[in-house]
Amino acid sequence: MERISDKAQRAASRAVNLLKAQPVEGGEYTVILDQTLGGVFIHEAFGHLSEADFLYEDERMSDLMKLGKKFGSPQLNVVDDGSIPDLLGSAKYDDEGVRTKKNYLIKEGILTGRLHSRETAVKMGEEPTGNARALNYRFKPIVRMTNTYVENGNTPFEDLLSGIKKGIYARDCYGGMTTFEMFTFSAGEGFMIRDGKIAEPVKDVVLSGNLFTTLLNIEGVGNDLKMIESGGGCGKAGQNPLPVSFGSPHLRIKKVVVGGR
Amino acid sequence: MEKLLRQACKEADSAELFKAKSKTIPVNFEVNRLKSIDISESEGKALRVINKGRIGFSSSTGKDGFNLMLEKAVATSEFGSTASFDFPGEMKRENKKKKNIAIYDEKAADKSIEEMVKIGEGIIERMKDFNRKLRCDVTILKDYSEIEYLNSRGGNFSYHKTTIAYSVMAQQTEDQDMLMIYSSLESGKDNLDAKELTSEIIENLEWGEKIVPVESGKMPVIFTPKAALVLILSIISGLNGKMILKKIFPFTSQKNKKLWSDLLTFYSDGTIDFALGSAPFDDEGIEMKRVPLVEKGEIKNFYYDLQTAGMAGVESTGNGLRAGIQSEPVPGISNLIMEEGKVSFKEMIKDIPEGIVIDQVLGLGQGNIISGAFSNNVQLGYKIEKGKIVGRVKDVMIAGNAIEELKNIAALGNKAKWVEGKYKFPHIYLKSLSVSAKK
Repeated sequence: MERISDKAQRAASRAVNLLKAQPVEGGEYTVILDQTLGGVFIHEAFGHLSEADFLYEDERMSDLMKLGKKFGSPQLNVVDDGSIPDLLGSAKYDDEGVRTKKNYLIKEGILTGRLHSRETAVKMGEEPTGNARALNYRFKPIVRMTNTYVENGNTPFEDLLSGIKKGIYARDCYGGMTTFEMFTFSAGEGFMIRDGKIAEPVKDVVLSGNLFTTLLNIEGVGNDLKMIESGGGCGKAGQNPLPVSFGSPHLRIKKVVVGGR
Repeated sequence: MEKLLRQACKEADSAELFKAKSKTIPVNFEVNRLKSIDISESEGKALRVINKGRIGFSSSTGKDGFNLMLEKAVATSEFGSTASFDFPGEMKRENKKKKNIAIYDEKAADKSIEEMVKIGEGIIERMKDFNRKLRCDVTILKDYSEIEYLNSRGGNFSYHKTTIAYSVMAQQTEDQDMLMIYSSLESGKDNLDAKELTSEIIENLEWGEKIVPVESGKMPVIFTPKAALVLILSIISGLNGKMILKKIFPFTSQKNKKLWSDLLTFYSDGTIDFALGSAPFDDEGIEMKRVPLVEKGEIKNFYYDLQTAGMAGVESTGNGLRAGIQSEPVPGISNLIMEEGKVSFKEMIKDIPEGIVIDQVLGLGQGNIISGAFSNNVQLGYKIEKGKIVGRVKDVMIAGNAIEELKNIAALGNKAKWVEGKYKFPHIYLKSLSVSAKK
């Protein structure tokens, strides 16, 4: 267990670091996301779009999320799994009595599954996935994520960095928002990458883009998956905060728009 | 109840009981069809005591008896903050100009579910008449709430309040492009015009039909009332009495100095009939009033609740609000009104050779609110070329510092609009803002 005093020490040094940081210059960059930001990205931008209640009555959306479609490179695997012991989003059964299990959403770059309640599963002719969850007894179970993550690839962090002439290393997250296809995230901490090396700190790093293009633009998947259990929980349809966890290895993504002055 | 409070005073020096009761009925349409009708009722009470000079607090939404709540409140007072105030005595609205504030409408309270369903269907019909391929999610909501307050110094008040809200999300999907437009109307009175809502969305859909490219760089921008919070949020947070006491914001010693454009004037006002934040008293018994916050670019007041006002050695401004029954009062904004300018939205557009209109952003409040830095994805925005709107922009971000940008307001709109039922903003025209676009 990490001691809280160590965490405090790190937060303090980060804050001091940020005093020196210059605001980032806006533009399009190759970006490396750390495990937290990668996890938030996959939860917010992709996970929510996998929730079948957004799709099942909407033909156009269902078209967009047709199983078998190419969503990324073959190294990309995305999973939602409520059956992992001891994680924030875990439970033996969901709130409609369906056993939780490991569900592949993207397998080797191909869209292979989505998250269901009993209602959406029947309506779409698929199997329930154990994702019907209610905040508490005052709410109806609706389709929610559990523990959502990108599986490990095989690129070490140093190799992700190599070859980037001018990019951004974005760590941690203090907020994100999506509307299905568009997303935006504020990095808690940012560094320029220059000639394959982490260089000076920058501040006010906000990343943004179209989900589909961005998933296709993931060009490197690290081998250092970390599950993140902090954060305020997930909100949907007034049911907030629902405990979930998310995670990812380091991800390298090309052509991400970063806002800046 | 008064007897109970007297009893409380045997355990603590003084005590205050706040009770809230509400009934909310949302009628939800999803993908153009009626999806659900919910009726949700809640009831709760909160007890705040001052015991040996310290504040204690407990709340309950269950059947906890008064004695148990009192025991908890007294127990927490041992670790509570030092009280810098006492509860107010007799409560009467002194303001002669605005003795009564209308916040309850019988017609709204009596609105039937059938009627609400009809309104929702009407909205969807009009949207589909415009374009059959649209997806519309609509919520028609009514809310009724009762507040009751009393304290051991004899202060007491109560009121009931209604809210009606229509909200619409219209979505048009073409391949991987999704155009999403949100709009809503809120009022305490049953006087909302659904046509106003649909006409606005249809106009936006027409403007947004074509996606047009933008080059990165500095350019003139217009924030619509819906997007104005991007620029105002930092200042609102910075004028909060708690922030001032903690010296977190740089505004502490900046009263009456010229900080922003002459055009910038706004105030907090909890006395406007049927605005969502209005009430005769704030959540700790202080009369609601109009508090000028910024006038002609100069800070005139910070806003306080009882505790922060006491610490600062000033009077509460009637801004002590509770975020819910479980929360103690903190300084908050009832309604925020920004004064209009003289230029119409059309004239602003005409004035711009090349620039954008910003109507909806992603990531509001995600920037560094304290420093004023913001950086947002323009989720809905329009390109202006040679004084005309030519289409919608995509993959575009804006960035700047709100506290800096508001020094250079080119013009304010002449028709302020209510946003979320508690903010009233005009269009804000800035001569120059950083825009980053995908290559």
